[in-house]
Amino acid sequence: MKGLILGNSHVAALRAAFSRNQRLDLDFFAIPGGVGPRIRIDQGRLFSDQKLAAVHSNIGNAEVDGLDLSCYDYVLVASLGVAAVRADFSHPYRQFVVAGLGVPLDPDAMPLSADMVEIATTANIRQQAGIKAVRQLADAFAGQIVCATRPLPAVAKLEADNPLVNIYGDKILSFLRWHAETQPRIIRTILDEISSDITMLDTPNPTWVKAGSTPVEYCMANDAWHMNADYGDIVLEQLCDALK
Amino acid sequence: MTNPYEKLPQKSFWRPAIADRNMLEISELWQPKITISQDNTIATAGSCFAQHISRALMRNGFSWLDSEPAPAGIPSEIARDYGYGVFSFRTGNIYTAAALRQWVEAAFDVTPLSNEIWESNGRYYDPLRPAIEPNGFSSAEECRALRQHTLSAMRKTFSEVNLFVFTLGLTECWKNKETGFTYAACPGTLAGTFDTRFHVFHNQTYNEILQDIEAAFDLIRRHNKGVKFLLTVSPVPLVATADKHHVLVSTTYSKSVLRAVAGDLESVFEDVEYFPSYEIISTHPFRGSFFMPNQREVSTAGVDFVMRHFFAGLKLSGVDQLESSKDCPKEAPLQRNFEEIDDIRCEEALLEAFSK
Repeated sequence: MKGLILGNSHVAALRAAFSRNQRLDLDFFAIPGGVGPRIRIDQGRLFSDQKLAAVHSNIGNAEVDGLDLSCYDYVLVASLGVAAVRADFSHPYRQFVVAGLGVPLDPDAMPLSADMVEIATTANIRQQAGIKAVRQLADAFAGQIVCATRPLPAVAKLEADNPLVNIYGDKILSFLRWHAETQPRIIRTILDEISSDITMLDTPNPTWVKAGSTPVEYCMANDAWHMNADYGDIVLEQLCDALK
Repeated sequence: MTNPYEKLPQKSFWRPAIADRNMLEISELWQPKITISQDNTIATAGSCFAQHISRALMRNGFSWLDSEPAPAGIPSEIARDYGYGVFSFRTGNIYTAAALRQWVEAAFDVTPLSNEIWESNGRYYDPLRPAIEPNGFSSAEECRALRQHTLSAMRKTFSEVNLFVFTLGLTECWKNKETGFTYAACPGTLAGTFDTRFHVFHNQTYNEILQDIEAAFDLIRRHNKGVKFLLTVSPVPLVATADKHHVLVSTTYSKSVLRAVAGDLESVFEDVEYFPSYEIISTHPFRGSFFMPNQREVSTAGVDFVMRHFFAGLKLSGVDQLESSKDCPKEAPLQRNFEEIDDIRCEEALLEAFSK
C-alpha cells in the first residue's frame, strides 16, 4: 500500500517521524499555509495552487509536474482545523469570545454562545484550502482518504502576548478544553458533508482533549502550535490502524 | 348652512375612500406627522410582525441599526435561528409592553432583570428570550453574559437611533408571582417548567400598557433627546388565549386595547407616530385576503402591501411606493401566496405544539 501525506506545515512532524522509522511506503506533498494546502487536481494529477509558497516533497519536480494520484492507495490530509492563533494573524478565535467562560467582555471581540462560536468556526473552516483539498480528492481520487485534525497547542508554550492569553487570561485552559472537544466535531461534520467514506483520526490521546493541550514534550522547541517527530510517530501509528 | 365635514378630504368619507374603491386601491391610509428619511437610523423590536419591517427598511435603502450582528460568514438562515438580524438587538420577540419596559429599564440600569434561568437536560434558557438559542445556552454563566451583551446592545441602540419602531403584540402574559417578572412566553411552552406556585396569568389592562410604554419611552428619551417612536399593532391573532373567553374574543380585546394605547400615545406625544398595519391587514374592507389559510399568519403579499403603504406615507423618492393598482397584485393575494409563508420567527406559534 502506497500513501501520500498531503498538508501544510504540520506535515513536518510526520515527515520527521517517517525519517526515523519508515514503516509505511509514503510520499509527501506539503504547501505552507495556515488554512491548509491550496491544491488543484487536473486529470488525475495533484498540483500546488499556491503560487507564492514552495512545495515541499520527496518527489523530484513535484512542484511543476504534480503527483499522479493513481499511484496511491490512500491520502492522509494533515492537518484540518483551526489555524494557529498568533499576534500577527487575523483569526476567528480573535473575533469571537466564548461568553460562558467568565471572561470580561472585550470591546474588540464579539461574545457568543459556545454553540455560535462552533457554528462560526465551522463556517470558517469549511472555506479553508485544506477542506477544499479534501473535497477535490473525494471527487477525483479512488483510494482511501484519511484526515487528521490540527494538533492542540501546547499551552505551556503559548507566548505571554498570544491573543488567546490576552482574551481568556486565567480561563485559557477552559477555552482550550472547549476547543479540544469542539474541533474534532467540526471536522467530522464537514467531512460527513463531503463523503461518509472519509476516515478521521482522533486527537492522538484522549487525555490531551481533557487537558485542552498537547504535552510540551510533543511540540517543537519554540512553537506551541507545531509538533515534533514524537507526535508524528503517534499519528503514523493511528494511520496504520486506520488503513483498511 | 355649513358643517365641519364639508371641507374634509375624500379619505375622510367611507364611500369614496373605501366603498367605491377596489381594496387594493385604498390609499392615504397613513400620513405621518413625524419626518422619516433614509438618513435616519431606525431600530425595530416587538412581536413577530415587526420582523417584516426591518427587512423592508433594508430592502428600501434605510439605515436599519443592527447593534448585535451575527458573526461574519454565518448563513443568514442559521443567524436568524439564533436571533441575529431579526431585531436591532437579540431579544427575540418582545410581545408585551411589560416586557419592553423590563428590557429598557434593565438596559439603563434602572431595574435589574430577574436572575431566574431555566435548566433542562444540562442546557440553560433565558426566561426573557427562551428561544434565542435553539438548543439553550451551555451554562448559566453563558446565559447571563450574553444577556448583558444584549443589554449593552440595547443601550447603544437607544442612545443612537433616530426612530424606534415597536410592534405591540399581546396583552396576555405570564408573570412570576413573587418577583412580578413578566416572562416572554408561558413557562413550560418554549422552555422552563410551569408551576402554579410561581407562575400566574395576567391580561394587561389599557392603563398598565400605557404606563409601561410611557415609562420605556421616557427612559429612552432621557438618553436620546431627538429620538422618535413609531408604534404598530401586530395584526397576527393570538395563537391561544389563557383567558376564559373564546380565542377570537380574546384576540379582539387584546388588539383593541393595544390599538387604543397606540392611538392615545400618538395623539398625546409629538414624537410618537402610529402606523396602521393592523388596520390594513385585519379590517373588513380587506376581507381577510392577506391572511394565510389558517386565518392567522400574514401572507407575503399582505406584508408587501402593508410596507407599500408605509413607504407611500413617507413620500420618498426611489423607494417602493404605493401609487395605484398598477403596483398592486392583480390576483387574489390568498391564491398567490399559498406557498410563500415567510420564515418569520414567531415563538408564539410554538404554543400550537402544546394545544390539544
